[in-house]
Amino acid sequence: MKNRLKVLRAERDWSQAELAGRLDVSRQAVNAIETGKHDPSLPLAFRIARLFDMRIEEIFDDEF
Amino acid sequence: MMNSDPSASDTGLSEVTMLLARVALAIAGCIAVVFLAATAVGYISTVAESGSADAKDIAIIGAIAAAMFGVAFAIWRFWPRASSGEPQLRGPGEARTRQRNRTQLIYIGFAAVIGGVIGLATGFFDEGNGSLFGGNWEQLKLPPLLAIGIAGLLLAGFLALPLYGFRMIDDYKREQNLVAFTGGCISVIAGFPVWAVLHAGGFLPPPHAFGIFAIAYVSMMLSFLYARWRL
Repeated sequence: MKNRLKVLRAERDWSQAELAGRLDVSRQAVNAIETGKHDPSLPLAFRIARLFDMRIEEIFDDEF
Repeated sequence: MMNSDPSASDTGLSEVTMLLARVALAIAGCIAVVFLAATAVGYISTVAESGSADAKDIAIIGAIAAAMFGVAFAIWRFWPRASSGEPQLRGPGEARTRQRNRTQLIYIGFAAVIGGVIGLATGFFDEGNGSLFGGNWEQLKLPPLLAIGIAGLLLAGFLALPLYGFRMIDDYKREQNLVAFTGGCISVIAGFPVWAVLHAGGFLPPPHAFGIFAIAYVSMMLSFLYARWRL
């Protein structure tokens, strides 16, 4: 699934480790989500959306 | 669900804990290397006494050598993380990630210590001529109380620790571990009947408990590597 996670992270000047810590997941998980190799669970998708103060569909798009 | 920034107070370990982590890593590495080296020497001497080495002997010695290489690689890989200074943190998330990595290191070190204690105990107190990890476990003779203690450690290492580990990891790593455990489980379910049929056809010796265990273990590790590479 495509997503804007990398862009949103870069806008805040956060490293993958910083984002991972804020989401309470591993850095490898953030990397896998950013590269589209792993789709986050629904709870994690909600955490990501809340962290960036956006809706889930504004971050993730399965129609790219 | 957690959505708040971690506080500064829960982001790092104290110097004492850091020192303990380094000591634990060093002890675990030494025990693992000594145990593997002792196993290799013991097995090679047994093979030398018998005067001939078959494919199974070579495979076991090769596996022990590979395990020693793995331990050395792990120490080389993890030591800088455990012994380096504290670089500047860029935020609370990085501190929490560092704490997560340290917890993972301690977990791996603890698991290695359990494995080393089991290996050393069975090696030192064996009253027979067997080896728990050498394939000839039928000749292993242990004092009953020690056997119960080692059984408890094995349950801790193969049951309690993985279950606890599953609670620590996130969805991504849980998915990788599920692939690994599935690979190990399927290899046992399929491995035994396949081996038995090939034995019936005269291709292989009869199925062996250690052989099934080894197949499951190797399959689990290969499945994990596949998951790490593909997922």
